[in-house]
Amino acid sequence: MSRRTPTGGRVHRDRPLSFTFNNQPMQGCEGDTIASALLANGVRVVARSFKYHRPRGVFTAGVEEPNAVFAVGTAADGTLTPNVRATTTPLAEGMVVRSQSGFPSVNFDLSAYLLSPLAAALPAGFYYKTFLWSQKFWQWCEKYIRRAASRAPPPTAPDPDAYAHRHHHCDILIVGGGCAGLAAAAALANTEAKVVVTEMSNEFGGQLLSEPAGASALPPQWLADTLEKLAAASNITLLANTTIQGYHDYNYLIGTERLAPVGVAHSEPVAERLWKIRAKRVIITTGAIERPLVFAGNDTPGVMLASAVQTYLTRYGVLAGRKILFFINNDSAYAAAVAAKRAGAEVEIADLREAVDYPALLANEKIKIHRGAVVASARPLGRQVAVQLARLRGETIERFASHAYDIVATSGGWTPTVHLFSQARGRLQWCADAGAFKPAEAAGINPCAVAGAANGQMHASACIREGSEAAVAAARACGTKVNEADAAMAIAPPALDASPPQYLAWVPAIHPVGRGAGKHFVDLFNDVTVADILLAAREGYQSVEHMKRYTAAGFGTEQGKTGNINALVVLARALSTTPDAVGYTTYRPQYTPVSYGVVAGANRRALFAQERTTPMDAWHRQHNAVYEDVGDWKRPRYFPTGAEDMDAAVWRECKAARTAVAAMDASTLGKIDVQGADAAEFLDRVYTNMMSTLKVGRCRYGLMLRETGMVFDDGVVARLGENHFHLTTSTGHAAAVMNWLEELLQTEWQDLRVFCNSVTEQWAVVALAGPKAREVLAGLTDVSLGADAFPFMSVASGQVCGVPARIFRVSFSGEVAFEINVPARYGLFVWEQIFARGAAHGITPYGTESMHVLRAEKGFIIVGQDSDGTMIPDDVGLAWMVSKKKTDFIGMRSLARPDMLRDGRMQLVGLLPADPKTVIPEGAQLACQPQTKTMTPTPEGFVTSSYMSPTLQRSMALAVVQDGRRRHGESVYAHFVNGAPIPASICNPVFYDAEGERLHG
Amino acid sequence: MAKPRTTSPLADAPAVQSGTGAAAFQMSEIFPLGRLLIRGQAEDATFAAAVQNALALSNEAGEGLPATNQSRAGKNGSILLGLGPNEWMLWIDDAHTAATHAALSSALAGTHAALVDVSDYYTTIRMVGAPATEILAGGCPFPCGNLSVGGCVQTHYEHANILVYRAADNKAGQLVFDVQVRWSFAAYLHHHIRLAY
Repeated sequence: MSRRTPTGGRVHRDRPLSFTFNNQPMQGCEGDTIASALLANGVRVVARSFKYHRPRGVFTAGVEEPNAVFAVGTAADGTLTPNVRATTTPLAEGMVVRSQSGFPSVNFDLSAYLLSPLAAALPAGFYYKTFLWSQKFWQWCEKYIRRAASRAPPPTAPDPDAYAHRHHHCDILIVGGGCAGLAAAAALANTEAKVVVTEMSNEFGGQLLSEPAGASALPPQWLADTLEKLAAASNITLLANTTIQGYHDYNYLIGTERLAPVGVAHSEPVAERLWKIRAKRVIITTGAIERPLVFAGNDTPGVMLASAVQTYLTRYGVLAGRKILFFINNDSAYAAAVAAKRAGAEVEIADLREAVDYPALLANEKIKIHRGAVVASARPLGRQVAVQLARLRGETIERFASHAYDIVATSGGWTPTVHLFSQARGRLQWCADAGAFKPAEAAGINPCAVAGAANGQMHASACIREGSEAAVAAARACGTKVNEADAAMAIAPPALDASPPQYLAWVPAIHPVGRGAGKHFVDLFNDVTVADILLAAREGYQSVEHMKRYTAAGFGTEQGKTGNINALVVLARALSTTPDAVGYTTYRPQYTPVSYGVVAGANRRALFAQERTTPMDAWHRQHNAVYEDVGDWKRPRYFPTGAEDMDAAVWRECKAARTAVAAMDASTLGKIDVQGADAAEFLDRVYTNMMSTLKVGRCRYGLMLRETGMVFDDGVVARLGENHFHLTTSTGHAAAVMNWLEELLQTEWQDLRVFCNSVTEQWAVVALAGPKAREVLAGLTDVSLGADAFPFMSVASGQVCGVPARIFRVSFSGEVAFEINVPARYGLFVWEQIFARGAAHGITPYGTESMHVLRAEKGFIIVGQDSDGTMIPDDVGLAWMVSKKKTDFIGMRSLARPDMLRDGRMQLVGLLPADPKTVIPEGAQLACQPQTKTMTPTPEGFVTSSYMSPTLQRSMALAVVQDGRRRHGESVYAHFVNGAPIPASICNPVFYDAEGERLHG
Repeated sequence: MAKPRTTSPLADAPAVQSGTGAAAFQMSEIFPLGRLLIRGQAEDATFAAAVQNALALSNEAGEGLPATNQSRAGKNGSILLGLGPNEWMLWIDDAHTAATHAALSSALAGTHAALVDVSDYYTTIRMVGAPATEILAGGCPFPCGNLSVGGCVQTHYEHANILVYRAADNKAGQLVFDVQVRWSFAAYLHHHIRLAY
């Protein structure tokens, strides 16, 4: 049964669109929303409610929709989008629309029958109460509750859409493209101010788009003329389909712009864009949302907002029903009633006010008006709503008629949309005339103004005047002059003969509230009733924030846009106080649900996080490198040849380093250039050991502590000149060390004449290690490398492969080793030359895994792996690095604390598993006894590094153990999650070449 | 011995050149480029004079080193960018890097200053065409479109730290931005910008 009117509306009847709703093929047309198309197709039940599984119909025509929220798209191709508001989502060809609730269907939902006798067992605060009963009972309930409340199925394929972000700076942001917003923009057109106007809907105009012809207080061409003027103004950016979701401090607003249809395949390069807007001034013209009246059975399909009836008829050409009862407490629905009547509907009005002067228009249209009448109850009757009409008699009612209508259109007044203003920390004030909260003062850090319906103005002419005034004030604040003629848009408001609204917390029914079949719903989305709120108040949840959480009123995708004010009016009445005493719950971003996709933007897949590579990376890829993530760096972990696994590759790589020559890409090492007259003094203060005595051309292994005395980082300090040092840091700590040094210079020691500059990526580094390393390098450099001329811990500048280089003779492997630094542009070239030269000696590339094995064999720690934030130098066997001569350095004082000197501290040790083939898992806990079924021993340490050592031909590990250094030779058992405890013995952590002969050779 | 060969961070990155008229946009890598980091106190007259003289800075905008976020042209086509109260970066044709480094080094001897060659730390992506402003706005929170010619700013594009310099419009009257990024972030940034375009 088509509800489409033959003419009228902003839809294109000649451009039909096919879609399915719950597998039923249907047709709408271009310009429809999903909801208008469903209504045009005569669909009445679109969902089942959250708690009671009651049938629900389309309730609104806007962002406030609590019922018509669907899953759109198909799971298999990833287009499935949950929680789509049918009332604001444009219909697209081929849309697959499904209700998110109801089994087997929304029209026949088994749960409704199963749950109805249980309704009494699902009171307000059900969750809280369930938690109090028994944990087991909650766990049992949870399964069923989750299934029963299911809102949307998860998609099974990745989202095929692309998303983007856009930062934008403007002078004035106008949020909302209704008459107030457009008037503000028009006043600013062709000024010097950069202006952005956003509108949620696909068309600008707001409520004007829903006004029946002739009903507007504005000249008929106002909207078209204004839009034309704005489109021509180069300083104005119009963003349709854009919802400002959050208002953050210092006028930073986040919006989402929808560019592609929802839930269908499309060819738009970007489906949705996140706008991050910084505005000098914000003008909030977000309009108002109609409130429903609260009566028994007010959730019956066919009950909807009066403004929705008007919008569907005027904007979408859909007459929601042939027989319509308007149940109102204010004047705003007259135009809708007249329009419906003229479109051929049978129209009646029940007005709960007694004494009202109705405009002649209503009488001319012969619309029947029941004065002082209310809808005492409503219930479904076939495809209609059965209504009991009654007269209000104080707290009770007197029924006088029963009729059935297609639609009950309800209007309980208008709530200014104050979400953004409140997010911006603006204060709200109760306005008895509006029966709602209105904006009062804005917060100083978020300069903004509110104009139009969002400020409680209910007439277009007044909205326009406020919009223009706000624009002039904002322009002035931005230092921009406004064209007088443009600003003089204000249209004198016509004499308003409106009768004041009459507000009522809820309409009494025959039964007391909470009894009988007809529930008084306040929040349709969460199935919260007046009885629930009264119960919450009785049970002590009297703060509005407590009531909200106890009853769930105002939660969910709709965020109480229709129900919030009604809920707190009910609470106020329950507490015998006024709504302003009750207050309001905090408004928070986002205004509507936001997809994860648009939040992520382009930052996904390869761009989720940067993958940093070194200048030699092309070679690594060609040579089959298996990578390891080290922070955001991609470092080769090992280079397998043939069918080698990691163990085999590491075995081969380590052998090469110990017996011949091997090379590693060490470019990721942090490097800091330190210059200045006080550089040596500065380094003396930040390292534990003495750096000022270092001779030019020499290097020293340095240890840095935090003020707590705990090991922070280690690295090599090389003295390049009297006042010039080059520091290295571990790869993962490069930024932290640089920041730390800079912080000290900027805050603690401003008197020191020192500059630190990061040079990490300036230099590509080849670490060349092994007995043949010198031989390989000697043929490539002019630096003389002999053990006497260039001893261990030296640095020299010269040429390598014909390019300028710095060679550091340092070793992390225990072999003769050189770290060759060349400008990054030559990194790949030098690497290749070294391999060409070393081929005769069997040069082998090695990765981070072999590096770890080689250094562990030597007992060299990795800060952060073998130490954690609780270890001082002595704990990791580096007490020898702490200067006894210096009077101060960072952490020195803490090292003298009694706790640092006590027995029983965790100390670095070596571990040899009893079985040389068994590698203990890293992290295993160490205890003196193996765990048994009856006894769990106390852990006394844990394994920090553990490998199969090619050099020792057996497994080995580093660990920290209480008093470990005194316990060499003792047996321990390593415990881990799955497996029997592994016996091992404690030993010295230096497993190889303890005298360092190879290193110095 | 083989002749030294250089590589650049974006040597393998796909070329970007598309659109016509106002939508024309192209992106290319400028590498190598000499980059010298100069540290010192702006209020130290000896230091400022040493830098000014060594670089023969143009004095159109008055005395002193360029303030933060401004730049000044020097000899051999160099540009001195003000990065902070005690930090400047000189961009100079790579052929002049070594000589300029030597000249600055001797000019600064004895003053409280630091001079570091960071030519290879970074690469520069030159973006040409009106869409560049919007493309940068896709990931950069600074309104680069507000930079005047010669202006520069250190900011970020998503996770990549960048330095954006607004060069003079090219001969075709097109907008030109030089975006400096660390070597290891260049591929990431290039990928982002390709998507944004």
